[in-house]
Amino acid sequence: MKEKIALKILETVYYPLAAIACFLFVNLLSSEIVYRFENLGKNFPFLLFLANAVYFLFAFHLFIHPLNAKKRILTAQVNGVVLVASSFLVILSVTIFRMNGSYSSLLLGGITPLFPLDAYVGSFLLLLVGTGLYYTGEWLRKHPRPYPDNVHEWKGKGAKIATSVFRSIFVLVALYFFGALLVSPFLMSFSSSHVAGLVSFDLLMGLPSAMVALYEWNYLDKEPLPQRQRLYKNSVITTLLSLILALAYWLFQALDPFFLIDGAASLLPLDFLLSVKVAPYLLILLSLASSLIAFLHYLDRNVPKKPKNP
Amino acid sequence: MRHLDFRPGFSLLQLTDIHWSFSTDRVQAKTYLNALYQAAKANADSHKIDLLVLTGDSTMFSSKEITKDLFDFLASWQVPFTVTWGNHDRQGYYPFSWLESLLSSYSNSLYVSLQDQLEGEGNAVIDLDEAGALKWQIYTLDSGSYEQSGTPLRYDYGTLKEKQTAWFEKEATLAGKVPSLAFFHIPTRDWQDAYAQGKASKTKWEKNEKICCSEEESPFFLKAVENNVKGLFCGHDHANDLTMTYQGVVLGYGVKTGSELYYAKSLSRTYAPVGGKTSEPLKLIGGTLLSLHEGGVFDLDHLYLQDDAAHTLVKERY
Repeated sequence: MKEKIALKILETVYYPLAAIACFLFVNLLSSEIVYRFENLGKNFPFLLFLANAVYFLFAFHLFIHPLNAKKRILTAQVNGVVLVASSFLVILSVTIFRMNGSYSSLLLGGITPLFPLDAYVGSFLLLLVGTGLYYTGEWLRKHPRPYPDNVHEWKGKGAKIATSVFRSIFVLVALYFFGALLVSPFLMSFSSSHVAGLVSFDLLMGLPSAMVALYEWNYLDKEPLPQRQRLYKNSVITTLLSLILALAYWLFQALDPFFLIDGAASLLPLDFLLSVKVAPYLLILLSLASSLIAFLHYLDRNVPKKPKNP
Repeated sequence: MRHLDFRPGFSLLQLTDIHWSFSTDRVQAKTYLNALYQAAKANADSHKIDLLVLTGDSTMFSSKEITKDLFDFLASWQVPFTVTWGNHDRQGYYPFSWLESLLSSYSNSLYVSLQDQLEGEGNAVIDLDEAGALKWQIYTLDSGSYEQSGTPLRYDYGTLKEKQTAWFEKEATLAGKVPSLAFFHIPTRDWQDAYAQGKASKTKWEKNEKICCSEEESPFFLKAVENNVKGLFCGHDHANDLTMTYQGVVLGYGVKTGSELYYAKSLSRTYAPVGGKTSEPLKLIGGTLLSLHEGGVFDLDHLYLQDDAAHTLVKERY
């Protein structure tokens, strides 16, 4: 269990980096889409690097929480190979672009001041990490050791797929908005008239990641009995938090309708490209839906109930 | 209050919707902008540009580095210049205060960040004087970005508001209602009304997309008519270069500058590329050149600078 906790700490430390990568990926991809992929060639290595950085978080999570020892080895080796191949492609692309003059410098600047050097160095690191993941799988194959597997309560393959898809989407949304939260002090225009609304929106952007943290640290790996009690407690807490932050959003929207327009336009690209309030309602609905699913899961009879007094 | 020296044939170049972003090939974009500047100079009465006005959306999905690169480049022309804000200028990786301080930092920038109580930022007027006499005024106004729409969950576009209009009226009155021009990003509903109701006394060029104005009426146009404004110029709708005269005032779309994001190819106009054998549909990209004369008279030229290898120029007068 100590090994698992150590790995979970590493995953938690890495999470903010993956969140910033996810934020940059969505923004750069949005830019490429609206600009009809005019500069995709030059931005492709950076996009792939950002995707790899997010992908590693998912791969690492699956490695930490395997269904069994065999799947853990398979997860490590397959994802290790994918990460190595993909990072190598980034390194190769940047090298070619630098040599043929497409990149006049390794410090061209652009989406980040260090572009494309950051993608280059970052991909070397991810290549090393991917290699490490692969050889960890290889080592585990030769030296089997006890490791706490994860127990899931899926009702059939359909439920398993639906859960996996929903959780992945939830985590991607959580990552994007956590990335936005992390960069918001540098991008938001905190004028005195908007500050209260923007702080409350920052909290709303952090809520899905708080729910991910709650799931990771206060639900997974717990014994079945306390797990059910925690599910009830967590779902009530997250529902209340979602409702409070949704009310705060509506209140500030009514008092200061320009707080997001003036203060946070750069964090919400889809909203201001489509002239639709996507982000606030995505955050509110996803947080509430997830809390509700957790509560329904608590009601599910498959989860052992607390025994009556012996 | 900012002043420039006026002489007959004072040339003003309007660039709009340049839209530099993470996806911009800046080397290519600078080559195009330089060619446009040279073409504008060559077509100006005195072969020089006296004032450059950028009417918004200069950037979108941009970083500090990209934004600074663009304005450093434009400032390097050593032409007095000013900026009005579009709906996308705030969508960059910087706080808006940084953008304003950048614009205020150039020695040839006329942009001022005033801590006034008006809606929007950088609402200002430039006086054009000749031998101590005020001849023209150039107003630059912030038409905002987005605001709450009447439709739930949607944003509407901004428009010129009451306080801005009152400020303009006060300035125009103080200046003795000399002829003036006003520049901003988002067209007011008057563009749509004049076009849809066929009220314009003169109409030229094309409307290739919806006039994306606010749902809200702006009081500005009526006050502009009363206060001797000769022309209102906007950007925003890249595919439109429609220009109309309505109640004696020219309502003009500036020609979209450069090919970033999107632009229109004319359905009715063609051009022959330099060195080419066949004519091609005219791309509605380039700049808008105004020459100001005595007595509130001005010439309006659309400079359609094509992005072909020879940067073929097609000039059309209103």
